[in-house]
Amino acid sequence: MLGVGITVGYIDPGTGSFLLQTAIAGVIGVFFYFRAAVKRVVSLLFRRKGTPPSDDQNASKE
Amino acid sequence: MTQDDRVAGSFRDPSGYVFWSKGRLFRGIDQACLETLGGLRKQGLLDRLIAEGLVVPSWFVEEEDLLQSLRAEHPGFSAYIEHEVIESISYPYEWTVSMLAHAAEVTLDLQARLMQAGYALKDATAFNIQFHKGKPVFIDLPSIERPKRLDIWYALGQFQRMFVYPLLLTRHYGWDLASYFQTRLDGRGLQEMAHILSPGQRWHPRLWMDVSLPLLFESRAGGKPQTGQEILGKSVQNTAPQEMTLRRLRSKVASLAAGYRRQGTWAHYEKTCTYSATATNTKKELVKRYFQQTKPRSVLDLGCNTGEYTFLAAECGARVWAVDGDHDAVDILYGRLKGKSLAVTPLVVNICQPTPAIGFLNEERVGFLERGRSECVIALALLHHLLVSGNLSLAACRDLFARVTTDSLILEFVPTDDPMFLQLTKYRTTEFSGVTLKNCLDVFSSSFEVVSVEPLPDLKRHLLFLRKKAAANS
Repeated sequence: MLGVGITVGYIDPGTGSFLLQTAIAGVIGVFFYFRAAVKRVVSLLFRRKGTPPSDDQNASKE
Repeated sequence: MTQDDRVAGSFRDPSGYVFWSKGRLFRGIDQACLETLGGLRKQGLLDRLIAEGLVVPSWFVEEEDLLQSLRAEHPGFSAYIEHEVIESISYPYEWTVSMLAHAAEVTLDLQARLMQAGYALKDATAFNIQFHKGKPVFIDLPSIERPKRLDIWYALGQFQRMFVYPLLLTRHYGWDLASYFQTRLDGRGLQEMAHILSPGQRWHPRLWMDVSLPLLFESRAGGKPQTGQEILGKSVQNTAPQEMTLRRLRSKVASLAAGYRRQGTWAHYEKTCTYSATATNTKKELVKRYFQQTKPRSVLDLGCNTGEYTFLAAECGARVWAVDGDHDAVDILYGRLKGKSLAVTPLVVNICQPTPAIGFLNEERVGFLERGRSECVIALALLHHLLVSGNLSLAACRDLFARVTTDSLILEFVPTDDPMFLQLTKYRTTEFSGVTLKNCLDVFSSSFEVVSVEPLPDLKRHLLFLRKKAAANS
């Protein structure tokens, strides 16, 4: 159970935590990516419905 | 170049090493390390971390004459850093649970600050933390690097081995830190944790993030096509995942330390001992007067308990090692240091079997008897424990004290008809009739000169003030 029997000497200690972190970071990264994408879509929709953005707003987005 | 002045524990780091020069402590660093630390210094972050007490006071050597002499003594480095000297070096296997938890918090706080500036600790060993004036500080500047990925912390596994696992095992599974660390200087790995815990325990929710899931990933690591280098080579600037990890670890460490339940019997000694107020006051007054007269720069308080005499010595200006075999008493003493800036290093050491010299070539980590030598040793209400529980003779006690003091010894003589002595020997058949004040003075006189013998009121005990004979210096 839980992989206790694998060849321990050839696995760098900390590998498990390292891989778990990359997996979690991947999931959170995807979440951030989609959140940014949703924000972009929302801001586009908001811009279409409202008045055209001023130069200041354009500059702050860059 | 001289090898003798190199610090024995400083040999693993490829970027440089630490060495002594004319009583000052320096570190030679290579070009890559200089670029990293130089960047930190330029941002002002290095000075801020030092000011906040996270990093030991350190500065780049810029004085030309000094640089030239350092280059002559230890050539081949791009720069030299001077560190403030920490005189009392201690190791995690001598710390208490609170000390290890505070060391963990300093490591995490430092990592969080570095991460925000685009840096990271590549090592998270507890040996990179030392206690300076009662507070933990980070000492290993070359452990700082500039990683490509900021969403993960490469040293997390080592942090778990050095801090999370020992705190988990002491809090929930009855372990002590000496057992955890002394035979595994780099802590215990995941596989060993899996063996320590039963299959049912391994899936307890408190272990999910630090043991159960990492084990699952580790067991499948062999089949992964990607190497660690490939994973770490990818540039990621999003720090949110690592921030979450660091926050989780900080609250975990704090809750494990807060949940530790003290079991020691010595922590309440001052309330249960046989001293009257007059005897206590006289004893304190005598010891204080001796400190004021002799002004020892360093004091080793053997059997310090919760530190009544440790504080007395520190307030008289001495740097103090406060040593006791009872974890909980030392933990209370450490707690009492909070908010004070006293040069006190509390340690859990059983003086009958002091911490050995261990590690690479048996030189990497110095034994306690060598580190703990002090100008004055105080052994108050300790002698009967050495004689009875430690099974030592008076001569053996004398040799022990002569080994750890460089100048003086304050010894409390406890006679065999003292209530505490009687309690200790209640079920013993061993003969202690040789333990008399006269015999004690005779035995000790081969290594010590007797300065004075003061009786304590309301008790049959005596305080002995002794100076080590020059011939007894080894």
